[in-house]
Amino acid sequence: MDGTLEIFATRFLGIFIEAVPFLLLGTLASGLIEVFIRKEDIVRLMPRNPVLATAMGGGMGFIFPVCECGVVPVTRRLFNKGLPLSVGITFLLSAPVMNPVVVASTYAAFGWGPVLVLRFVMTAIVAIGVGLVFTLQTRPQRILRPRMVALPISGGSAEAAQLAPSPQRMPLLPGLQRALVLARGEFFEMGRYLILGSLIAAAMGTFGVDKDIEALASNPVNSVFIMQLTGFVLSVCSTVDSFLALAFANTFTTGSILAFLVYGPMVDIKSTMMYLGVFRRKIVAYLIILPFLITALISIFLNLNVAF
Amino acid sequence: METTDPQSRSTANPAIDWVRVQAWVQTGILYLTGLYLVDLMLPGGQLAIYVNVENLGWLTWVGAALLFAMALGSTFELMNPRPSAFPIVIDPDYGTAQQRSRLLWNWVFLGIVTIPLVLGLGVPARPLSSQAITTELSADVTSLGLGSSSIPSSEIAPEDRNLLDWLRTFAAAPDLYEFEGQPIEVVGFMYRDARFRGTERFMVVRFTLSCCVADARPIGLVVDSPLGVNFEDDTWVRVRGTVAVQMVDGIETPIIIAESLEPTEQPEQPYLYF
Repeated sequence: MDGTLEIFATRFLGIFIEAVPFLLLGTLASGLIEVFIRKEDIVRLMPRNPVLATAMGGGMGFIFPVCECGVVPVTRRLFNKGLPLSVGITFLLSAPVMNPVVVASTYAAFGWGPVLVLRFVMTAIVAIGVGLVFTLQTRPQRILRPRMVALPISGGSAEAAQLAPSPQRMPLLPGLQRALVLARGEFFEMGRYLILGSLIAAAMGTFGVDKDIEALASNPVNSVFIMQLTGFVLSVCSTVDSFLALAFANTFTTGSILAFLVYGPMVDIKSTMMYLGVFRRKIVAYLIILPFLITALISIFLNLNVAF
Repeated sequence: METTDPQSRSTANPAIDWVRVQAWVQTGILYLTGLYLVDLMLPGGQLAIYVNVENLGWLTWVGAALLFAMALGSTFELMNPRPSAFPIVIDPDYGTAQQRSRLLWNWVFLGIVTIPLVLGLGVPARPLSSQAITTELSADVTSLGLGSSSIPSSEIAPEDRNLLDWLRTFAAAPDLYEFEGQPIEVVGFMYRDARFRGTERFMVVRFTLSCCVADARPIGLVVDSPLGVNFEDDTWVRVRGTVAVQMVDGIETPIIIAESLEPTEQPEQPYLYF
């Protein structure tokens, strides 16, 4: 139809233009951490009590603003520095959401309201809950793939892997330049997920959804599973997934939008690949299934009992 | 890149270093995307077609600045490689089929990241129009869930109310009939679906959004135009008339009885902001 392409382009570019500053901020933060922050310091500051430490792991993202692509290598390095297992797991699951960039982008998309608040509350509950399960297992060797324990760290992208920084702290200017180059690599790595996700969201907005999907989208239970699956498949960076969620929010239940915003950053195709590189298979299965179930439970409960 | 024997691996000096070429292409894409964003924000730019420029327009400056910072950082890196300070890990797959297929995939990925530029520069920029309304637009003001603004819309002087303010005023009013006969003037684009074809009715419509077009929703008022409807759909019009309450789709609905109907320029900000 005449004019359809223009509308599609407008919808796509709207999401992209709004999202791209946040993606850039996220990748830059992750580059700066890689270059300037020494992971030992964080491990030193952790409380000794495992439960307390696990709860703190949930807030560590505010010190280490990494999205899901950056979090796996950082966690691995933290494990090597002696971070307790449960704390690491909680950090792994919560850090992609618990950070200033995501607060800002979720606020930009949804404003002050239940989605913003509940996204963070639910993430904390799920991440700390799963982390506490792992306090039962205190020996990292049992869950980490053996050859991974000593491997050198690499960033979220092939680029970052190639340009792994030297262990000593860098001087300011070359360090900044290095951070920018690392950020570039990650921007391209993550940018393609953002763009593919935006294309799908824009197509849905442009062509509408058919009756079957509409019925699923308003069902309090099924909509949650669908959006969790969507989050898993789209693999969009946590710094920008709010803008995609916004495109779905007209059609889908609020609980399912929350499920997308909580589960997507924890587990998706790309983070599963990275988990498989670090953890034993059985543990990866736990990391996929436990957050899935807890998120689904809370979201469905909200859908059935809360009028948003 | 096809002709690398294992011996030359240590010197790492093939005819063309494709990884480096791709790094340059990435840098180029960063510059171009940054320039595209700047172009949108310059006077006469089209940023208002895509995002809420009132609240979030400044973010695009942040985006452009970061794109340029990244592009400059990697330009310097590529022009002055300092291998001693930054040891580059030699790729163990170098020269193998795996590496070649990875290079190929990287070109595909680079292509994906150029999609915003292709769509931004290759497709004429247009605000959402009546074609973007996929389901029949409701004329029922109470069903829209319009939220509230910081100032109650009823406190805005009637002559200053835009379409959104009017709809909010109607939605909040206990009795619609109190508006009967009041003068009203709004700007929007013409929208007619099957309900209005062949009648003297149409809807004057604006898209509303709070963040960007991802959350855009159309709102509109039914207009009764005894003078006839001589404009194409999507024409921007200024409608002057009086409010009347009539049955539309079986619901008592405030509508405009048009006294004058004139085409007008598309407003600088085509959308109304929540």
